[in-house]
Amino acid sequence: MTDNSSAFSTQWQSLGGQVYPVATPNDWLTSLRAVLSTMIDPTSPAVVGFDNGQWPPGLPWDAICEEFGGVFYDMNNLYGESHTKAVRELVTQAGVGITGAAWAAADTGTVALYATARTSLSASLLPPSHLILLKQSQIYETVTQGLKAVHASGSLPHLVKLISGPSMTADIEGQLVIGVHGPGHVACLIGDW
Amino acid sequence: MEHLPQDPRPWPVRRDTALQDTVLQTTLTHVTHRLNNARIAAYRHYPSGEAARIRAIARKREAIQDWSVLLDRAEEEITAHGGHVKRAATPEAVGAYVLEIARQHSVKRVIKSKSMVTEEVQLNAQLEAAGLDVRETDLGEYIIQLAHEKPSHILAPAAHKNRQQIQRLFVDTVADAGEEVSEDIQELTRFARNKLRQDFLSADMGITGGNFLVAETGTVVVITNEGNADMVTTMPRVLVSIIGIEKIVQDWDALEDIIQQPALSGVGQRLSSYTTIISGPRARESWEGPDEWHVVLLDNGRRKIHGGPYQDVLSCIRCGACLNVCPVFQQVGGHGYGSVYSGPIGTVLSPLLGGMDAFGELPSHLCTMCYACQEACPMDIPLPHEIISLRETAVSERREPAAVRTQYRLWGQAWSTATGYRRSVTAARLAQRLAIRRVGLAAGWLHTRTMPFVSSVTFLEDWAKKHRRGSS
Amino acid sequence: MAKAALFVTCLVDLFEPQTGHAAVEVLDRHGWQVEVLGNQTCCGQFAYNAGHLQEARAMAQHFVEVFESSDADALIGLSGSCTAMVIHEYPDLLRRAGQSRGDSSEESESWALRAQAVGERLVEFGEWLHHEESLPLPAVKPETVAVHHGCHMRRILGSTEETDDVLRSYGAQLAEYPDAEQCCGFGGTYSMTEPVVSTKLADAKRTALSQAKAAGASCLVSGDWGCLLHLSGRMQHEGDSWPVLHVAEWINQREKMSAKKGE
Repeated sequence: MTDNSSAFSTQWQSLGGQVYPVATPNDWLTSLRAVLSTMIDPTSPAVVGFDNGQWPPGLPWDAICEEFGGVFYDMNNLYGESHTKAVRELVTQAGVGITGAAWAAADTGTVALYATARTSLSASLLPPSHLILLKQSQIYETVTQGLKAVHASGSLPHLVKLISGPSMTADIEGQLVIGVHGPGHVACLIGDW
Repeated sequence: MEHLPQDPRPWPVRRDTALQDTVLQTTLTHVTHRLNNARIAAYRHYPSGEAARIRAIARKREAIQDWSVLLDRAEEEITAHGGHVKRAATPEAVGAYVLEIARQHSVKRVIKSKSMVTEEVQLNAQLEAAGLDVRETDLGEYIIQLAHEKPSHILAPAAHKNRQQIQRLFVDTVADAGEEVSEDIQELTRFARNKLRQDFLSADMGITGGNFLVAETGTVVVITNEGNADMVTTMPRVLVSIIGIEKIVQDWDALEDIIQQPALSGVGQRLSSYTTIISGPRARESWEGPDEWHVVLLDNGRRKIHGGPYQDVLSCIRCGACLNVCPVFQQVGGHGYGSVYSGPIGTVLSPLLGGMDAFGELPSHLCTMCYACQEACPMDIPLPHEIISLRETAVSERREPAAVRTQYRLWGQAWSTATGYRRSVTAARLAQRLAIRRVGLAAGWLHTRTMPFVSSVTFLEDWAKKHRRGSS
Repeated sequence: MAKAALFVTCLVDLFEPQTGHAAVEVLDRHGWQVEVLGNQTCCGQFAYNAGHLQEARAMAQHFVEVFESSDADALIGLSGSCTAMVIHEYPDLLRRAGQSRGDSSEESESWALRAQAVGERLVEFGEWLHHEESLPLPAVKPETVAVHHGCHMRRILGSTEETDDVLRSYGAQLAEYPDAEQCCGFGGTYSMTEPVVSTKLADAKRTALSQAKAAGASCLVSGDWGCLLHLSGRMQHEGDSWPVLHVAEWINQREKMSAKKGE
């Protein structure tokens, strides 16, 4: 792993997230099976995947999900205005949301998502589990560098979301509880492809 | 409507209620200690966060100084990205604008993320009076909304309640008939999640506050740990962001330095779990985000502060660090202040926004002048000096009882000369001999503490006696 | 021989003169000539913190006049809070107060500069002793004590470490207790105008200090009689006779003990 990847992993885990390093491009299948086995809940089997064009190619998503009692929905097939309602409904019911990321930052343990045609922010928010596929080269050393990238991108995305660990609250007696409105289970697969 | 809502109970009643509330005493101590220790640890292990804080102070001061130009720029940018901007001078103006948008879009249900500004303008009451269904979605805010109370801490609004009280509250207000509610904190949170999820999915309008407004690009930044602001900004058709005009920062450089400070100082995290950055309504090709985005820029007394001796207070980022270290806050909690803004920052801000008639007693009665707030404030706001300055205003406006004023005058006059000082020693001894002790300010001491006696020979008297011939 | 002018403070002068005497003895033992300016009164902080700016100004000007008349090498203050007041509040206080009563800006500025000059010569007792070479101490039995630093000593002067070091060098073992940095609730006239909260804070401090007591602390030591009068007043009212001492008194005791042993 690169320095940034391992620093990111340490910080993300300290926030309560999980990290699954993918050692070589050939290990994606193994790692995916490992993480999805902990995430898929057969009582809400839908797994919604928003491939932002940055995913490792050729993975048998349907088969892996099926193996653990899930049903994979490749949301890119539902692209277009007419599908908005269907997408919303699917994401609402899903047990797992899978997205890529625009970038990540090591010092704060942050993953950035932009609202675009091929990424869903609600997939990172509504399901109880969120899986993020990260390339090592996407990880900056600091969140400051990441923010510079947002701003420097020329056309500012209308909605950017920075996720730094699972949803949490300490609003009752100051006791920390993981998973309030957003997912309590957040995991990153970090590798190269 | 007043500029800032005020608890009608007088200070002694608010104080004694808080001091007798054993639940409040326990939970508040726990919450404030936890947050304060987390803050200290977070900066200690993160030198670049501390370096950013130092830069952020200077940039934020400049942004406040130049806010007119920057607010105009923000408005241009937001409009250029397809958003709408409304400048609102008063709480009524905010309410009227939001209601007008709600009417245009046939809004029935509104969801909100936590926002001190909407507490300040009593937006919920205004919207509910017009028949809208308004739901707070931050867990703490949800709890106090159900209890019809005000926040007792800027960051942890329900810090005064324990799990048993919250369990009963849920049963009495939102649980379905026969629905079991556990006293377990994890279960209570899950219960609220499930209830609120339905509200998120059915809401027509979302309302957020804003932690920062970036002039350069007309960008609003909202920070939460729960993810509720993400829901509010992602799900409903219409989004209204209500922002105090002091939230302005110049550009993304300034944002980069300040964006981590609320989490570092407030909860001891390097960044909150969720940071939402909004620069416009939903783009055509995008799945999510509001179809329409409105930004309300609220004055409500802030412009009066600008250019005066309290201008630094406009740099506040509402992190709550000053509350967590304040000895008085730890005793009486947020409700002791009778204002939605509590703690040291509330002691300064409440009289500035809501007037000395309503809040003039805060600087005098809720500060021991211990300077812990100044030490904790990430924006270096000189809160103790501002509190002294407000006390000076109270004195010059003759808000103290005349007898108290007279005592200070006589005391000050006497002790400005050596002769007067010596005479006062003689007078005090006489009073002691006659057992007159419960007089003036001293009476306040005696009920709970033993009063020291003026020494039969003071140090200076003794020295003078022994060194009559010279100074050594 | 170096000369020190003692800034006694009103509380020591009126209520706890033994602290002044102890300080004189310590200074003497360290080879300093002591000057006590008989015209000194009070720094005026009680009025300043309460918002009575003009009363504070009058006292501050008196203080400046008294102490600038001294040619002593150092002005030594027997309170962290009053020392902080003179050093850190006087210049601005005199500027603002002058302005608000319509004095010419030259006059206000001149007072501010005079105050600044006095402040530059002023040092708090514990800080002074920290700079001194410590006397050779024969083996004196260590003593466990609890220390309470006033908030202004801690946060305005920022010199709590110095006093702690001095106490340790004299054989003190500092008993730990929770929330030591928390205010005791004195707050000058706050203790009289808001006695309920002030007393509640004293009780919170006493509860915390009970851990130091349980750890064997023989007494409570502080560089500020403001805090000590408030805390001991509360203790006595509640029938608790745990001794409280000013730093100068405790140090003086130790030096006397070691002098005896050394004989």
